[in-house]
Amino acid sequence: MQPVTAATAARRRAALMRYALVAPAIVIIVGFMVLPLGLMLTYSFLEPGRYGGVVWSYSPEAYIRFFFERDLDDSLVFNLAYVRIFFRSFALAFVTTLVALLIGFPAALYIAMQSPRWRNFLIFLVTVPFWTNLLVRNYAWILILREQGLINEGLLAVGVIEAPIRMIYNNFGITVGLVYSFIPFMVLPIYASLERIDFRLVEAAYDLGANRWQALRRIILPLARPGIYAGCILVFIPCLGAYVTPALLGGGRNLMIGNLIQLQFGASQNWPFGAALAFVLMAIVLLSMLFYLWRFRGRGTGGLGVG
Amino acid sequence: MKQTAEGTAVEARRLTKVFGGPGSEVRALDDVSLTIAKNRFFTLLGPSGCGKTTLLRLIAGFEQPTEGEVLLDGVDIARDPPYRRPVNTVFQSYALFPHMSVAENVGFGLEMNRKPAREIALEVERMLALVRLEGMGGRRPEQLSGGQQQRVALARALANHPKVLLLDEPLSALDLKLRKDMQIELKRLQHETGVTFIFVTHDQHEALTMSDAIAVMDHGKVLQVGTPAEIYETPVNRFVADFIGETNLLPASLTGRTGDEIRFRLDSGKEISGREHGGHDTGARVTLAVRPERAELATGPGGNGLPGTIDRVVYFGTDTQFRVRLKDCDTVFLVRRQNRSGHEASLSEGQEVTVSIPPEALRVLQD
Repeated sequence: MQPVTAATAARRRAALMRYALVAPAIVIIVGFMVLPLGLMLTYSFLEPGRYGGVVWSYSPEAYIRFFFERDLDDSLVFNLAYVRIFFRSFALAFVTTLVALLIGFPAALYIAMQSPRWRNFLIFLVTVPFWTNLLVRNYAWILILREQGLINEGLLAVGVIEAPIRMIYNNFGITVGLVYSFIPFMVLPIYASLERIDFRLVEAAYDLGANRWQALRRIILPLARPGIYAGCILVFIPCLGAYVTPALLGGGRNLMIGNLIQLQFGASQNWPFGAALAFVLMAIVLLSMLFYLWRFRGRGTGGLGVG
Repeated sequence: MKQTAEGTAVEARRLTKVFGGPGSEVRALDDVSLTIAKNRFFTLLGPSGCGKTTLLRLIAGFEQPTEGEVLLDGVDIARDPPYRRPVNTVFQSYALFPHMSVAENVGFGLEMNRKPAREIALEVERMLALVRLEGMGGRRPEQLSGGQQQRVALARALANHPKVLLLDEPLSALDLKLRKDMQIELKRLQHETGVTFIFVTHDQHEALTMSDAIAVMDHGKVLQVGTPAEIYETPVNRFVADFIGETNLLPASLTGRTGDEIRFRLDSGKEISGREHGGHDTGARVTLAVRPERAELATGPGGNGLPGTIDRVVYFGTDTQFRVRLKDCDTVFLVRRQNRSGHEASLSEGQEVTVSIPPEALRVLQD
């Protein structure tokens, strides 16, 4: 029957149209997420090739290696070297996030309280560092922090110190570099949530007897909470995998996870172990994200939405 | 006024507030002096931009005056921060804290004043009962209707037992029916609490029906302060007459007086007489004001009358408004007539009539 066939054809066309519309998203997800991650997962369960690459036979060795070391007689001995690097990475990422929050929140609050035009200009300034290469910016910090650097020379000249202070090639240098690199990711989401606060609420708090500190603690902080959480996650997670900053400002002695993984694919020629490390890291990150979502679900946080 | 003053709650002394820098100065308040008696429902009335909200914010402490003093119980508080003033505000947008329950909102001020938790809980209950929101303490503000949010804002502002309650156009977001209810509610609350209410509005009906006293403001100045009846019956100038209720304004010159009869000639050449001269001498240019309900319509020639033609008849339910185009000048004169028996539809559009003005209904205004 003519009308039925026409209707069927139309429906088929509509279905085709739907697939065509989601196709780009599917291609991107499969091409840029599923395939590489699948490959990494597969590699992490294979044996390392002699000169890099992998040998296609199953082995859980990479994951065992994370915790244990094989003695000469092939017995497993606890080895905390890698766990320690993970722990240091988490500690550095945590301190970095904390410092970024302590600097970023007042900065975002200050910006949010300016006139709209001035506000946009200040936000623009926050994003300016993104215009140059991360490597260049980290080298710049070496020039500032090193023993003959700006700070040490300055302090020596004024006579505050007698010998230069060691500020790079240690955890301090790494933290400074990380805070500097990631602080925009803290400022921007906090600013986004502060900007949406109706500042008449703050006036209302003053009116009811709250002083500045109480208004901040009871009104502004709770309302900015989604932005604060988003900022902390956006700083903490990339910090964990940071590579450039610990490599340059840590001087290669204070390894973080990112450097460890890079080593496996480079000098150590152990791709499965590198893939396994990446997966352990990802599992930890995913679990903490799930915890975040579970803990703050339905509080109008808009997930991790920044904007 | 009901009784003579038991004292002054708030006094503004030569208050001036200038916003903006040199070149773009805006004088929001210009040398305003004002005395507000205790236990009154006092209204600041004026069009938007007249300075009424600025005056309120100066009393609340959200703005600092450029010059002048704000006295509360005789003490200058103009430089105190808002949290040290025994004054609370009901905001136009209510400004309820969205992340707190109704009870937490109402108890916030008490908590800031370090009252013990048990006392706060009791007081919150009492306040919610006062605004008739018993049992709503656990709700979130967003779960309440506009009228209920308004009541929470009132309870929150009253919980601190302020000496003065400031209300910044609190009814403007409500629909008409709810607004009428809240007007009565506000009067009741003022009466029950004995707190001085300073109410800001641009709605003259609201001002007339609710206030013990009204200050009419325009361009940063207070033009007139008085009871609603004083403001309505004897406006001091053209602006007040025009802003409060409907008014017919007639440009005229004072032509002479005999005894207590003052004669005016309108620009159309018609003569009309009144009882007051407003301090003007013979020959002076004046503006005459007549309230629409004070004038009468006659089909024949009436005393002290102006001839004209009925342009439009508008039925308002309780009364009917006649728009009369006056002869020999391009002025429309409004007359309002009470609809008492329903038989008064005898006047129709296009009919020739005389607008008859009782001499005592004629006001002489300063421009």
